Amino acid sequence: MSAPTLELSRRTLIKFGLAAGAASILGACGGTSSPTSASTVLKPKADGDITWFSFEGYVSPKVVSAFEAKYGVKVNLVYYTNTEGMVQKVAAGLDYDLITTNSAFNKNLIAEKLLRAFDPSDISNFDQIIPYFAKPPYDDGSLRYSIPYGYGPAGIAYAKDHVQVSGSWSDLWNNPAAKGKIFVLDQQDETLGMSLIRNGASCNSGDTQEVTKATDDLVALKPSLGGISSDVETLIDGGEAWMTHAWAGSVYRALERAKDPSGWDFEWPKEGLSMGCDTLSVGAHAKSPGTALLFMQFVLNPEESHKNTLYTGYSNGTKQGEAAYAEMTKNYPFLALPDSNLNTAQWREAATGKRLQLWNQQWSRFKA
Amino acid sequence: MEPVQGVMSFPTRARSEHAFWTLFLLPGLAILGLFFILPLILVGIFSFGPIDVLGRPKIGFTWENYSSVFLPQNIAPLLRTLEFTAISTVVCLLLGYPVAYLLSRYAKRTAPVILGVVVLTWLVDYLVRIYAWQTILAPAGILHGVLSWMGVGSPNVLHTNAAVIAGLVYGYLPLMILPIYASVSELEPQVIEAGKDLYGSPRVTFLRVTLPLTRAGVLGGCILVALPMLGDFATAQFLGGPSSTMIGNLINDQFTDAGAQTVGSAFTVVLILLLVITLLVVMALTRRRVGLSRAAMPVSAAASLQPIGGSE
Repeated sequence: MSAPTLELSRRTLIKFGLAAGAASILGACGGTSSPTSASTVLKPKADGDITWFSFEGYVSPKVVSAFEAKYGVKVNLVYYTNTEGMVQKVAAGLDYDLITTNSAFNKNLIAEKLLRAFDPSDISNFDQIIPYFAKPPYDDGSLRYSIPYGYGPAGIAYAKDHVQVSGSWSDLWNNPAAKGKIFVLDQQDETLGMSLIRNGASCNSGDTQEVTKATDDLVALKPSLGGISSDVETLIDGGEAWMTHAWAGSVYRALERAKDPSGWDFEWPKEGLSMGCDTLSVGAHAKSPGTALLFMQFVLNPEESHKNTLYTGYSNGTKQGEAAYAEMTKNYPFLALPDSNLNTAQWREAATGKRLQLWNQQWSRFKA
Repeated sequence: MEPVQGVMSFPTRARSEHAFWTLFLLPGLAILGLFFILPLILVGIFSFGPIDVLGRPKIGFTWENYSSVFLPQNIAPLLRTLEFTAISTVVCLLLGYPVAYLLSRYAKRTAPVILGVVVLTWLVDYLVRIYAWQTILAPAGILHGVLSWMGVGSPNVLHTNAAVIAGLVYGYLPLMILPIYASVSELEPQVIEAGKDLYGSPRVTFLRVTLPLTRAGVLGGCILVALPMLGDFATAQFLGGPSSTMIGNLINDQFTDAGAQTVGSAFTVVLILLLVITLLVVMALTRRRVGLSRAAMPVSAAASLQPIGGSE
C-alpha cells in the first residue's frame, strides 16, 4: 500500500534533484560575467569595510589595526589553505574585496576579468616597489592588477655536519649516505620545476621528453628520500631532515625556533631558481574596491611594510621590506637572495591544457 | 452496518496516517539529495568535462580525465591503499573488540564514561591529531626520547608505512568500538551461559557463540572503518614516506595542487565504483550468514556446541 506513495516521492525527489542539479550546473558553468564597474579604473578611497581572502597569519595584526584606525573601516579576514583553492573560489565569482593572489595565476585571473585594474600613478607608495617587481611579466601593462606581497624562492637547506654540497640541485641526488633524511617539497610546480631547471630546461616546460626525464630523475631520487613534504619547519625542527628542498621563509622560521640553528646552512643552487610571488589584488566582484586598493597603498608605506615583513618572515618586494628582511635574517646571511640569483630566476606559470595533463600524470608517477 | 463501516474506515485511516508519517522523511531525503546525491551527480558529470585556464570544470565530454586514471602507475597506490586499509581494519578489530566487549559486559556504570573518552578524541580536529603523532614519532620526538632513555635504541618510525598504519588505526578505532559495543550489549548473557553449560571452553564459547552473534557489529565496524580509510589522505601525507602514497593523496593532489578537479572527479568515480562493488560482494557473501545467526539465535548457538558434547 505504501509503495505507490514512496515510489511517487522517489520520482518527485529524483526530478527535483535533477532540476536542482541542472540549475546549479548551469550556474557553475555559465561563466562569470564581470560587473560593468570592473572595467573602470579604480581609485584608492575608503568606500566601506573589506573582506580579505588570504593565508592565515599572513599579515601583522598591527598593520590591520593601524589601517582600521586610520580610515575608520573594518578588515575581515577569510582564509584559504592553498593557492589552488583561492583560484577556484575567485574563479567562482565570490565577492572578496582584497585577495592574496599569486604571480603564477595572475595572467589567467586578469584574462578572465576577475581582478580590478588600477593606475599605479594613483598609488602614493607605488615607488616603494623595487625595480625587480616594478613591471613583472605576470602583470606588465600600463594599468596594473597587483602589488608584490611576499616572496622567497626555494633552495636547499642542509645540516652541515651530515651532507656534502656543491651549490647545485644535484646535491639532493649526490648524498646517498643521507638516505631517508632527504626531502623534496610536496608541490608539483616547485619540485618538477626544480628537476627541469637542474636539467637546463624551463621550469614551465610542456615538452614531453623534458618533463618525463625530469620525473625519471625524481623517481631515481626516491630511494634516498625520507619523504615528500612541504612542512619544512617540522622537518628541520623535528630532526627529520638533513637536507631538504625548502623555501627560505620557512627555513628562517624553523631556525628561529631551533635550539641550535648553527648546524644549518642554505644554498641557492647555481642552475637557477623558479620564482613565484604572492601578490595583493582587488577582486572584480569587490563590494568595497576603493578600500581594498587603499589597503594595498597602505601596506606599501615604508613603516607598515617594515612591520609586516618582520611579522610574516617574507620579503615583500618593497625597499623597506627588503631592508627589514636583511635585518631579520642577519643571523642567517645565507638566506639573503643574491641579485644574480634573483635576476636569473624563472617565473613560474600555472599549467593549463595539455601541459597540465602531462605534469599531472608525471607528478602522480613520481608520487606513486 | 457498523462492523462493515469499521472495516472500510480502517485502511483509509491507516493510509492517511502512513502518508502523514512519510512526510517526515522529506527533510532528511531533501538534505541527502541536495548535499549528497547532487554533489555525486556533479562529480560524475565533471569527470567527463574539460576545464578552463583557471581549472573551472566545464560541461563537455572527454575521456582524457579517465585516461589519467587508468595508467599502470596508479596500480601501486591502489594496491597500497587496499593493503593499508586491510591491515589497519584487522588491527582495529583486534584492538576494538576486546575494548567493546569488556566495556559492554563488565564496565557497567563506568561504560558511558569510558565510551565518552573514546569519542572525546574525535572532538579534536583530525589534522591536529595527526600533527600530534608527528611530534610523538619524530626523531627528536617523545617516542625517541623514551626509547633512548630505556636504552632500546631509536627506530626510525616517522615517514614509514608502519607510521601510516598506526595513524589510520588511531584515527578510526572509535568507529570500530562503537558498533561492536552496541552489538555485544544486545547479546543476552544467558546465551553465553548456555554455551558454558554445554561444556564449551571460554575460547570455544567465544568462537561459536559470542563472535557469531556479534557478527553484525563486527561487519558494521569493519565497513565503517574501512570506507573512510580507503579515501584517507592526511595520514599518508603527514606520517608517510616517499612510497606511502594512497589513492586519497592522488585525488587530493588533483584538487589542491594540480588544479585539475575533473581528473580528481574521475579518480573519485572510479574509487566509488570500486567501493560499491566491493561492498555489494561483501554484503552478498555475509548477509545470509548474519541473517541466519540472528534469526536462530539461542537455538543455533546451542546447536553449534553440539559437537563439544561428543554427539557428532
